[in-house]
Amino acid sequence: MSWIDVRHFSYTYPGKQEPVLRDISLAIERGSFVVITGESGGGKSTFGKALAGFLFQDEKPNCEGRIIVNGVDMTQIPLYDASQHVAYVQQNPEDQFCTLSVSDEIAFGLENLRVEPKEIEHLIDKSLAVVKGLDLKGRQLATLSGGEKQKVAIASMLALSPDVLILDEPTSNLDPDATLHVFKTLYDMRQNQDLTVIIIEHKLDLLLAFNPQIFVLESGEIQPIHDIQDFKAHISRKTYALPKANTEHTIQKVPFLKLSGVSVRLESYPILHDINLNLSQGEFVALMGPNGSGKSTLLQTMMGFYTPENGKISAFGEDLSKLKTSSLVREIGFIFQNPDHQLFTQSVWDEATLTSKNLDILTQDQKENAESYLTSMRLGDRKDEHPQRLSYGEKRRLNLIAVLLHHPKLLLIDEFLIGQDMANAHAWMKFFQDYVQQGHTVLLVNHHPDLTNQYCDRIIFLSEGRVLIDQHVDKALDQLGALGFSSFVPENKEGFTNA
Amino acid sequence: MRKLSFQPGQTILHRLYPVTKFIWLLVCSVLAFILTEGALLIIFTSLCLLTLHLIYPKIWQIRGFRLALLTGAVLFFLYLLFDKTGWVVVDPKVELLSITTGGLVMGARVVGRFLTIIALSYIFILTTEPSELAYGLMKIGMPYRYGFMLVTALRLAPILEEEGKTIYKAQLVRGIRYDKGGIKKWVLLVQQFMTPLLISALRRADKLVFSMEGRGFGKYPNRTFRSQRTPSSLDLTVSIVLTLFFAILILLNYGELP
Repeated sequence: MSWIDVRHFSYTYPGKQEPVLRDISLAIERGSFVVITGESGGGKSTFGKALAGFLFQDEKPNCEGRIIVNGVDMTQIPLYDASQHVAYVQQNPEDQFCTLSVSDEIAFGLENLRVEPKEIEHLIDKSLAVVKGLDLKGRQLATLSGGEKQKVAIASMLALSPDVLILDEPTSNLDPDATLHVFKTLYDMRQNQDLTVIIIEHKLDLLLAFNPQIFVLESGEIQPIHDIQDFKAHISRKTYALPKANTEHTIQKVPFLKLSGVSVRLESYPILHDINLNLSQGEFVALMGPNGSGKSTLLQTMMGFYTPENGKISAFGEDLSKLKTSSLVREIGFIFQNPDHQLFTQSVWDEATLTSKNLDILTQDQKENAESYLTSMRLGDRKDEHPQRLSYGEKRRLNLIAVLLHHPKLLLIDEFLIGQDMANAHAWMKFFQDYVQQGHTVLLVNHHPDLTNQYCDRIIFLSEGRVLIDQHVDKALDQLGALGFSSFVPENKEGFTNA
Repeated sequence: MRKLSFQPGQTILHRLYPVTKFIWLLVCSVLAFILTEGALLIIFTSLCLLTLHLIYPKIWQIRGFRLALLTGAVLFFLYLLFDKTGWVVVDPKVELLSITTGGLVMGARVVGRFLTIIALSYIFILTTEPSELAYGLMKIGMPYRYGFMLVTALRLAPILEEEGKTIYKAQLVRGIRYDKGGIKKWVLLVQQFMTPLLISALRRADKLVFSMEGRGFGKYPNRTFRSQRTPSSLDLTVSIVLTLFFAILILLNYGELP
């Protein structure tokens, strides 16, 4: 029997009619390095949770078939026993942590299993050494970077000596450098520990170097991929059509936003230093940089949420400090990272029209716009549903409609592509490009070098709170490579596809 | 401004066992109410404020401290204005502005107690790692399921605070205005604020349950603890000194000493 043996497994969520996983059968040998990819919402995370025994804690779970890991049927054991066989690292390590320090977090599972304190210390050191994070011991979790948190999340699971380690999009919040580092750590770990590693991931290109066994899971069905180039060539191309604007924008010579010598300090820590940049009409700009370089702070400073310690910001020719956020909203649309944080009303229709209603511009034209946006974004038949009942991708689309309905001249977008599959990522980049071609400007925080190269006009690259590069895409990528930020540069500038 | 939270350090207070500190926090708070003599209370309050200054000289930068001092000053001023018992000490010939011994003593008593509690709380929070306290309480018998309620609350509180700030900003960028409209509108805005925050909190709790149970939480009725920290001779010494000092204060307060 294989190390992992899944036989005719199907699963339906409680209260649903359609199964999310259908008749899945696969075999994985011990020590394999496996990647499961596929479109967003296709059932990848559900399958990961099924392998880890998370879905079978109800009295009568709605499932068929068996999942055998090292001889143990994962559908039959309580959750507190499951992690000793299969450990599951969640997408966001923040969701997984239940203590405040690195050592306490790694010790947590061992303490629950009544391991002796001396042995716990030894296992903490061992787990941290495996993820090359011994220097993190003694640190508080709140002080760690995204990549460091991911290492601790992995170490806390490794300490339990599982047979299989599953990671659900472990690098979705990480910059390319940190992403590559995590993948390399996992690969080395699997080699040295004889551990079976399963990664649920969209970032295939970065993983191909490690020669993984790849499966694609779409619409609840799983298939092995033998030829990755063939698979990439057949990825469906989605589109999100941008309804035509009812208003024509005139050519504007004044920069939409102008930052001169801007420095920002948060809770007495300096975050941004001497930022000088302009955003003008008709630009699609990528804001890039390593995790913690100040991208989100810069975006929020542009919206007036942080007052600069030094320097000046003007928006559409006026001093930003004298403008209220409510008056900026007409001209600037802002989208935050997490879709759940920006859904406030009781129905999809109310959500789509909320901004226009607040701005007192909800005319008949606007309502017709809302109808056409909802239809083109495939939400037309869900107008009366509660926004929180939508899927992740649908919420993202609704966020965008809610901000775009009155056609703000400038869009500031923070990490819109997180959790999106490749087809969706391309579709969104094309959508933003079309919006720019209508005479608007888009500034998008983006970690995908290839998508930036393919769709954007300009790159602003932040490093340690300073603008390191502000250039046309081609020149910026050349400079990034020369400055040693090679993971931010696509390997092939022609048609390199990866989300 | 910095948040009021644990600040690592090596002072005697940092080195005390958290449970010892917690017990003395309770004892000191009770003492502040036992002391009735204005002068003794002022000495006690001054010592608490001095200790706070010594362990964190930049105490002015901690959020809320200036407001606490201002509140104390306003309270004292109100007692001077409205308590006219006792002898007149200052008489500017306007009755409301006259200052009496009764106003001074009552003002000092109330403000002294208020500032003592504030200073003690700040000292405790600045020198105690919250999880250490929870682990300490679990070791002396608190069921670990309840102890971890405290640990996870400490873990989630700053995350939810940040999420609350993001949701508020997300409301503003959708043209929502808290400064316009009546109570009905305000109630609607609060509801619109609370909905995503509550949903996010529930989602986090759900994921945390999987994370904790997935690592054996609840498998056994008891568990081991990595931290082997126990009370030391320092705890004993500090406890003896404080006991003697408080005994003298109480005896002085009730006139038992010459």
